[in-house]
Amino acid sequence: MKRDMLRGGRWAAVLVLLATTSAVPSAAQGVEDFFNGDVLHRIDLRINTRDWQALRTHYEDNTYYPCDLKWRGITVRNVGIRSRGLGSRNGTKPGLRVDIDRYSSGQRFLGLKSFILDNAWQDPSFLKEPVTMELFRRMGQPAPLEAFAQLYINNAFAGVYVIVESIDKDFLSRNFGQNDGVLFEYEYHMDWRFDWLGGNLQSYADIFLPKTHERDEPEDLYGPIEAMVKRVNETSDSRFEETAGEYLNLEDVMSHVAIENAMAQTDGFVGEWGMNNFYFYRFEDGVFSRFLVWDQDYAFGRTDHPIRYHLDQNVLTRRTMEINRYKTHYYNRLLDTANAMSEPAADLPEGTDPMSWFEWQVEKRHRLISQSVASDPVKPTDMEAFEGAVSYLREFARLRPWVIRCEVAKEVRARDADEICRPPEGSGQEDR
Amino acid sequence: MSSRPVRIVLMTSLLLAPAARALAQQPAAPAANLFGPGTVVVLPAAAQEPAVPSDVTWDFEDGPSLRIGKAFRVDFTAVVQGDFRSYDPTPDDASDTEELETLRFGVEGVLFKIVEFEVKYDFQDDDQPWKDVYANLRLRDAFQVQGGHFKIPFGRERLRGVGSLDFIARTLVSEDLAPARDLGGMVHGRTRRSGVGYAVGYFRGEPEGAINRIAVPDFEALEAPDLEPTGPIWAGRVTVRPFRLAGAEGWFKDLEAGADVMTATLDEGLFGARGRSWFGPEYFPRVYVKGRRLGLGVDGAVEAGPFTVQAEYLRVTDDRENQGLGDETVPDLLAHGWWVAGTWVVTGQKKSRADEPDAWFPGRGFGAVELVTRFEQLRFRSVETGGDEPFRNPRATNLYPNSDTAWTGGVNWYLNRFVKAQVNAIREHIEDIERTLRPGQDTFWTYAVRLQVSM
Repeated sequence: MKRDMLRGGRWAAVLVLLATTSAVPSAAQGVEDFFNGDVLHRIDLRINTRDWQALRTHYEDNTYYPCDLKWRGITVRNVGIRSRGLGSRNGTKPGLRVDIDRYSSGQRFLGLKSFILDNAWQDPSFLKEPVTMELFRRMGQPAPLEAFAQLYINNAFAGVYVIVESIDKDFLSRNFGQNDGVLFEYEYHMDWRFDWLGGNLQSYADIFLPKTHERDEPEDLYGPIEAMVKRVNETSDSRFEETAGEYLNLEDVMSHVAIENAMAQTDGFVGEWGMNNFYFYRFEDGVFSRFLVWDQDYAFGRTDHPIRYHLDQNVLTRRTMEINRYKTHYYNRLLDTANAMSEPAADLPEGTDPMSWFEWQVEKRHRLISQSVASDPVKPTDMEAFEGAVSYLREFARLRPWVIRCEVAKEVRARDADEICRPPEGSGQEDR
Repeated sequence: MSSRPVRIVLMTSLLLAPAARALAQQPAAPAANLFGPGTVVVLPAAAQEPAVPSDVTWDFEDGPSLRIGKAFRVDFTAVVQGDFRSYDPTPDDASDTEELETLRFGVEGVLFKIVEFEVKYDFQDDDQPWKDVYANLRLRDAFQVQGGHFKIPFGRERLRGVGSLDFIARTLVSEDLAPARDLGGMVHGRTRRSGVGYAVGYFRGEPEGAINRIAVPDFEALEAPDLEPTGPIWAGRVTVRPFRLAGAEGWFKDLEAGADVMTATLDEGLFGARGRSWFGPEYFPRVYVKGRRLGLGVDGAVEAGPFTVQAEYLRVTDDRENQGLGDETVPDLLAHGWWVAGTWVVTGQKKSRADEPDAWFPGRGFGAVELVTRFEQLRFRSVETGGDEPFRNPRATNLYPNSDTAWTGGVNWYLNRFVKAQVNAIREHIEDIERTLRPGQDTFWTYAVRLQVSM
C-alpha cells in the first residue's frame, strides 16, 4: 500500500492546500506560478548593504541575514537568507537559501517555508539542473520544482539564478501526502558506496543529516539506517530481495539510478566519488524509505556515458542488478527515459523547427535566459563559454537517446542491435 | 582547568576546612587562638617563629591577614561555590548539573593607609579568570582615585560581590544590562556621616559582563565573523541616604537611594543588548546596532532589623544608525527591567549581622536562617514602532518585543561567617512563545542549591 502511495501524485489537492494556507495574500498566484519554468522570474531582495557585503565576504559561514522578499507584487517581510552550497560556494555570486520562516515560524510564501536560489556556479550552461529535474518529473519521480529568475539586490541586478524548491515537509506533503516521517539530507564526507560502516551510529550520523525530527534519539534516527545498510550488505542472495524490500522499493531505487545514468550524472547515487546528491525519507510509522534526487549540476556528462556506470561498485545497486527482475526493470527504465527524451516536442512555438522533447527543454530555456545571462555581472564564465556549454547540451539531447537504446540493445543482446545502433542521419556519428 | 574528580576533591576539601575549623572552635576559646589542631591554618607555627620581626603579625579573625605594623596589611581571601541545578522541563540539550561554580582566591590590603589594592583570580572562569586587579589611592574618604580592572560603577546589584548575594544568581536585569569589570580609572568617594557616595569612571569598553561580550551571530556559523567590541565607556553612580542627610531618625533612616548613568560608543555589528533566561537560551538575541549606548538606573535599599527591601530599575538604549534593511536609521533598541527583593532573617538577627559569631553553627547555635523572595522583569523592544509592524529579525524597524518575568523564592542558611547554604526556586515566563527554549512552551522552572565557603 505504501508503495502505491509513493507513486501517487497528489499534486492538485496539495497545491490547493498550500495555496489556501499561505500566510501571504497571493491573489491568483500560487506555488506553481512561482516555479513556472516557462517564465523568467524577477525576485527582489531588500537587504542592508553591510549584510550583503558580509554574506559575500563570509560566504563559507551559514550566518543568516534578514531581508524583505518581493515577487510579482507580493512582498514578504522578515525573511532570512544565507550562503549555501558545497563546491558552488563563492563570494562573487553566492548561492542562497531563503528561509521564509527564519524569524517567524508560521510565515509562508505561497505556502513555502523556504526555497533555494542556485547560483549555477558549476554549470556554465545554467541548464543542467532544471532540465534534469524536469526529466525526473516526466518519468514520474519526485523531484524539486525549478525555474529561472533574475535576482535583484536592492534594485541592482545580481545575476541569473535557478529557483529550486526545498526538499522539506512541504515537498513531502506534495509528493507523498505525508510529512511526519524522518527526512535526511546526505552530507558528502567520504567515498561511500553503501558499505556497512559498522555498528557505531555516529558513522551514519556523519553523513545523514536529519532535516525533521532533529531532536529524536540517535537510536531512533540512525538505527534503522544502520540496520538497512547492514542487511543490504550481509543478507544472503536468496533473501536479499525480501530483506531489502522491507526498507526500500528496489524498483524505485533502480529507476532513480537509471535516470541519473541516462543523464550521464557523474556525481549522483552511483557517482564517480561515491554516493552523493540525494535526500533520504523514512516514511511515517516504520522503516520503509526512499531516496530523493538532489543537485544535478554534474548531469550531462559524456554523450557515451556508460549505462551501467558504477552499478557494480555500489553494494545496493550491484546486488539489486543481480536479480533478473530488477535488471530488466533497470533497462526498461533506461529505454523509457530515452523514449521520453526523444518524443516530439508538443509545445513548440510557431516557426520553430521540429525537435524532440529533450532538445526543446534545452532550447526553450536557452531562449529564456540568454539575454539575461549576457547582462549577468557575476556569471561564472563568459558568453562564449555559456553558448559553448549550451551547444554541447543540444548535442547531448540529440544523441543521448540513441546511445542509450544502442547500449541497452547490446547489453540484452537484442537481435536488432545493429539496426538500433545505426547512427541517426545528420547526427555526425555515422562513423561510430 | 582540572578534571572533574580533581575539582570535586578540591571543592570538598575547601568546603570542609572552614567547617572543621568552626567545628573545632569552642565557645570559651580566646579570640587570639580560635583554631584547634588539625586545621589547615599555620597560626601556631607562624606565631612561634622567632625569625619574624616583632611588628609582623598574623590575624585570623576574619580570615588570614598579614600585618606589618601599621604600614602594611594584606588579607587573603577565597570564595568557593558549588552549585546543583535542576530544570523543569528538562532542556533537550542539558540535564541536571552540578559544578564548582566559583573557585576564587585573592589578596586585598592597604599600604601606608593610603594605597589600597586587590588581586583576585577565579580558577573556574576560563574566559575572564582575572577579577579585581586594581589599586586605590585613598586621599580622603570623599576623594579617592582607583585604576586597574574592576567593576564599572553601574547598577546596585552588579556592584555586590559574588559571595554576598542574597540569591544564588544575580537578577536578569543585572546580568544582561549592567556591565561588570573592565580596565579603567575611576574617581570616587563617600562621606560617612551623610551617606553620600559617588563614582565616575572611564573604561576601555571590553567589560566582562554579558552586555558587551561578543558572540558569534549564529551557532551554525563555520567561522566567526570579525566583530569588534564597543568603544570606551563612561559610567557614574551616585548614592544618597536622604533621611540620614536630613537628620531623621527611625527604621528608614538608612534607606539608600542610588542613580546610575553609562554611555559608550557602539561599533557597527551584532552588539545590541540581549536577553538570556536562567533556563538557558536567549529569548532576545542581539540585534544590529551602531552609534551610542546610554544606560540609566535608579535603585533603593533599606534594612530594618531582620528585614531588607531592595529595588532597582535599569534602562539601556542602543542606537541603530543605518541598521535598517534599506540602510536607514531605525528606532533605538530599548532594554529595560526592574526587580524588587525582600529578605527576612527568621532567626531574628539583624540582616547585616546575620553571620555574627554568637550563633555560629556548630557550637554556639544554629546560625541564621533567612527567607528571600524576588520578582523581576526584563523586556526588550524598539523605543518606538517607526510606524511598522513588529518583526523578530535583528534589523526590524519595530523589534518584536519579548520579556522574561521571573519569580525567585529561597532560603539562606548562614552556618557561620564562612559557610552559607542557599536554596532557590526560579519560575520564568517568556512573553514571546516563539523565542523560548521549547517553542510553544512559555513557563520554566529552575531549582538550584549552592554551598558557599568564603573568607
